[in-house]
Amino acid sequence: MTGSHLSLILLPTLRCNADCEYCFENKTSDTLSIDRLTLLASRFLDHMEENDIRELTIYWQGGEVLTIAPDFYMRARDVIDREARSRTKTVKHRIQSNLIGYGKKWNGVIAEMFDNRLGSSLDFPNLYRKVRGGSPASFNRMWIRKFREARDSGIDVSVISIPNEETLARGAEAFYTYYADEVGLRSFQINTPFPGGAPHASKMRLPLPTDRLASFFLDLLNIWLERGYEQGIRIGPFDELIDYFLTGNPGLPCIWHNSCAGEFVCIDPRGFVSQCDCWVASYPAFRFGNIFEAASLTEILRSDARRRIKERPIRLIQLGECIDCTYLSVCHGGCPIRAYSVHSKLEAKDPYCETYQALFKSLDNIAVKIARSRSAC
Amino acid sequence: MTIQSINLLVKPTLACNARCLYCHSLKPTNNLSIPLLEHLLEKLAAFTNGHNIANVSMNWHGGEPMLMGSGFYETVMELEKRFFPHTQIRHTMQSNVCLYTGETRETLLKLMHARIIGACLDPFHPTRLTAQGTDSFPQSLKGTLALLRDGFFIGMIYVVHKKSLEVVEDLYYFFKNLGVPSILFHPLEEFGNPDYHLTPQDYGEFLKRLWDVWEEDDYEFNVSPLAEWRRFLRSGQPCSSCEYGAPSRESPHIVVSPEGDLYPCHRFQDKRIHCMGNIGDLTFEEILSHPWAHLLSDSKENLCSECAECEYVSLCRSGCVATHDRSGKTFWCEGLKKIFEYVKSKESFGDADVQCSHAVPGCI
Amino acid sequence: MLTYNVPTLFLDAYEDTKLIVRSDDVNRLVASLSNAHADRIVTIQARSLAADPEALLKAPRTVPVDVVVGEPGAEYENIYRYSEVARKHPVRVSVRVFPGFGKVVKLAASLNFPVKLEIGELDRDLAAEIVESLDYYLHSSTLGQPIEFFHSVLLGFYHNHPLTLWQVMEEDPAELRFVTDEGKLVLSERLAAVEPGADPSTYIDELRGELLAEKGECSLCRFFKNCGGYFRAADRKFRCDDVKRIFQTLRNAAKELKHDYAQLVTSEERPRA
Repeated sequence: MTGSHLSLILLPTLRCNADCEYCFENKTSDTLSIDRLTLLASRFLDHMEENDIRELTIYWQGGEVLTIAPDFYMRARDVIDREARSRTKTVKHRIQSNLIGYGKKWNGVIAEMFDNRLGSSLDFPNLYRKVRGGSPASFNRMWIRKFREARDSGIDVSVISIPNEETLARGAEAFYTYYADEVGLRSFQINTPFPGGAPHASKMRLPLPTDRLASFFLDLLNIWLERGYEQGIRIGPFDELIDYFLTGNPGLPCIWHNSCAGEFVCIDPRGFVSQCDCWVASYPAFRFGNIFEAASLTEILRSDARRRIKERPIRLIQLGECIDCTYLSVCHGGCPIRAYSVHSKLEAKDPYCETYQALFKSLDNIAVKIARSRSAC
Repeated sequence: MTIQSINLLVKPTLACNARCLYCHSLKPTNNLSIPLLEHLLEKLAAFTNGHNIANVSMNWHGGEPMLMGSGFYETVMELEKRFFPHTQIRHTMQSNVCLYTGETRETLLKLMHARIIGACLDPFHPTRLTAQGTDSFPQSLKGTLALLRDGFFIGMIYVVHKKSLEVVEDLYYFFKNLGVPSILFHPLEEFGNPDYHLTPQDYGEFLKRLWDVWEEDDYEFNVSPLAEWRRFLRSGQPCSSCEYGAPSRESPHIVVSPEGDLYPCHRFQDKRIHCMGNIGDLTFEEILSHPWAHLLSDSKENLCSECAECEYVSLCRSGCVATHDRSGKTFWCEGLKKIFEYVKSKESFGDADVQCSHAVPGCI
Repeated sequence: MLTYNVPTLFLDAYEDTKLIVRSDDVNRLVASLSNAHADRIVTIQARSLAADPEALLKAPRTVPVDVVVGEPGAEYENIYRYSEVARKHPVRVSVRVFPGFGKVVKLAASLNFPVKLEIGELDRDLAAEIVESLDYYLHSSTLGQPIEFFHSVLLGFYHNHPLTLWQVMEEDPAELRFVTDEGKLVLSERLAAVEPGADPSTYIDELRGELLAEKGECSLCRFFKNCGGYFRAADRKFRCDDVKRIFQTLRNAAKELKHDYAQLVTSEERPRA
C-alpha cells in the first residue's frame, strides 16, 4: 500500500459478550496483549515508513472491544502514538462496539482516544442480535438504555443497521420512525446483509430480494428527504451518495471503492492479516499471513490471497461484467465478501447489484434537483 | 477648442506595384522629396509643440508606401528624432504588404513600434493584380502571415464587389481563419470591370448575408461595419468610424500628397477636389483654419434634410462624405437601409439620443 | 526549453531538453528516475499494461505517469493496477482510438484518471464510437476528470479563446519533439513520416500558411482555429466531416453552458423577498 492514508481494522479481541445469530465471525477468547500490540504497531508503522504512507486510522473492532478494560486502550494509544511520532506519522482512532459493556468508566477513553465518537449496531426489527440466553427484544431495550447513557455523556453514537426480511415487510416508514423518532438517532447507516461466516438459519435466505430491498431503500430515501435531510439526520449511504453526485467527493462506503485492498487491512489478536473483519476470523484461505511470524507487513501484503482480492475488479471487467454499467465509477463491482459469501467465488458481481443501481439512479437524479433548487434560491 | 491629437495621412508616392481593378489612387507622380518631408515634419513639430499635442500619428498611404524602400523610412526616423525629441509619433501604414520582406521589413519593425498596419486581400477573385497582371493574392498572403508572425495588429480590408455575393460565408471564415483581429468590408462605387460593379442593393444584400453568417458564429469575429452598428443597437454606443460616426474637430485629420498638397480626406485627394493648399505655403494653424479642414465633421453635423429625418440616421449619419451625391446622401443609401431594416428586425432598436463620437479616420 | 519524448535507451543522448521517458518495462522507467539526468524528466510513459506497475510505488520521486493503451486486446482492464500508483503519482491514460476504445475510456474515467484520445485514421465506425465517448464526456454525472481533446476544445469555445489541437494533443513541435525507437528525431509519433523542415518549430505556422494559400476546405472551415490543420498534416485527404460534427457538438454544448450560467447569474442578482 502507498499513498497518504492507510486504514487498519484492528481486532484486539475475538471475545464477545453477545451471541448474535447472524455473526460472520468465528469467536475465540484470543486477546491482544500490550507486548504483542507493541510489536504489531512497530511492524505496521515500519510498513507505513517503507511505503511513504503518512496517516493512519485504526478502527478498533471485535469480537467486542469493550470486553477489554479501558486501561488497555489508553496504554495501546500511548504505544501506538510513540511508534507513530518516532516515524512522523499521524494516527486517529475509531471504535465499534455493541454497547453492552458500556458504562461511565468508558467516558474518559472514548473522549480522549476516540474523539467522543462511537459506532454501534441496532437492527429493526431485531431478530438476531442478543446476549446468550436473552432475547432480541431485551437486547434492544438494553442497547437503547446504554445508547442514551452514552449520548447524555456527550458521546456521538452512530449506528449500523442490517435489514432483514421482516424489515422489508414492515416498511421504510416504520423503520425511519423507529430510528429517528423513537430511539432518537441522528446518524445511522444501512449495510446490505450477507451470509458470511459459519452457516446458520438466519443466513439461509440471504441475500435479500434485490427488488424489494431497492423499493425499501427508495421509500426510505423519500421519507428521509422529506423529514430528515434538512434537519441534519444522516443516513448512510444516502448522504455519501448525494455528496458524491453533487461534488464528486469520493468518500463512499468501502463496498464501492475501486480497490478496498489498496486502502484497508485487518489484523486480529492472533496476528492474522486479512482484508477486513468480514474475512479474518472466518476465512482462513483468504488470510494474507501473520504479522508476528512474517518478516514484515510489506511482505505479507504481497500474498496471493491479497492479490486475488485486489485484482477482483480486473477479473470482473475481463468477464464482461460491469464495464457497460452507467455507475461503474461509483461501484466497481461492489463488495468482495458479499460476492464470495453468496456465489462462493470472488470473481462475481456483488449480489445486490440491482439494488445499488436503483439507488444510484435515484440519488443521481435527486442530486440534480438539489443542485437546481440551491441555484434557484 | 483644444486639439488633443492630430493624424496625418501621408502619401509618399502614388506609384504602386499592384493594379487593383477599383483603384483610383494610381497616378503618375513624383515621390515625396526629402526636403518636403523635412519641411512637413518641422511644421508639424512647431504646431504640436505650440499646442501641447502629445498624440501625433502618421498613416503612410499611397499608392504603395513600401515602394519608398527602407532608406526613406530610415530618414523619417532620423527626422523624427530631430524634430520630435520628446514625442514618439505613432506610425501606421496602409499597404498591399507584398513588399514586406528583407530590409523593408527590418526598417518598418523599427518605425512602426505600435505594430498597427492596414492590409487588403481578395482571396477568391482576381480583383487585386500585380503590375504584371497576375493575382497578387499569394504575395499579399505571404506578407500578411509575416506581419502576423511579427506581432502586427492588421486591420484587414476587403473591397466588396458584385461577385462577393457568391462567397459571403467563405469570405467570413477565410478572414477569420487568417488570424487577423478585424475585417472591414468596404464598398467602392466604381470598378474597372463591369462584372464586378456593385450596386447599393447588392451591397445591402451582401451585408444581410454577412450578418447571418456572423450571427451564426456568435459574433466572434470583429467585422466592420456590422460591429459598430450592433454596438449602437445594443448599448447606444455611437458609431466611431469616419463613415458612420463623426470626426471630431479636436482630433483633426489631414492628407498630404506626394507634392505636399493638403486635403481633408484621401478620397478627395484621389479625385483632386477640396485641396486646401500646400504644406510649403501654410502653417498647420492656417491649414486647420481653412474652411475645408473640417469638411467631414461639418458634413456630419449639418445633414441634408432627408438624412436628418431618416429613422436610421444614428447608424449612418449620411455615410462616407466622399460618396455623397448632390443631395447630400451617400451613394449606398438604399443598400444601407436594407441592412438596417433587416437588423432592426433582429435586434432591439433603442431610442438612444445619439451623441456622435469622435470618428477615427482610416478607411482605405 | 523543448521537451523530447525518448525511449529509456536514449535518456542520456539529449542535453538541454526536458524529457518524457517511455518504455514497455516499468522497471526501466523507475530506473530512469535515478539517472543522472532524472531532474529533466517531466513525465514517464508506460507503453504496456502487461506488467504490474508496483515498482512505481518505489520510485525515488513523484512524477506524472502517462499510461498508453495502444491497441485492442491490450489488457486494458489492467488499468486498475494504476489506481494504487495514483496515490503516489498523477496518472493519465492516453488511448489510441481503435475499435472498442470506448471501454478503455470508460474504465479510465471511472478510476478518476484524466484521459487523452489519440486519433489516427478515422472511419465511420470509429467516428461513431468517438461520438459515444463525447456523449459520455458531456453528460455523465460521474465523470470527474477531463477527456481530451473534448475538454480543452469545449473550454476554448466557452471562453472564445481556442487552443489548437496541436497544443491540446501535445504535438506542437515548437514545444515537443519525438525520438523514435531507432533514435530518429521527428515532429511527433503520429507525424513520424512527415519531413520536419529546417526549423520544426515553424512547421505548424507553415502548414497553416499552406492550407490558407490552397483556399481549400481548411481555409474556409469554421473550426480551423480549433483544429489548425491537425488532421490534414498527416493525410491531406483526411475526411473532416466527422470531426466537424464533433466540434459542432462541443460548440453547441459551450453555448448551452454559457446560456445556463448567464441564467444562474441573473437569478442570483434577482432581488429576494
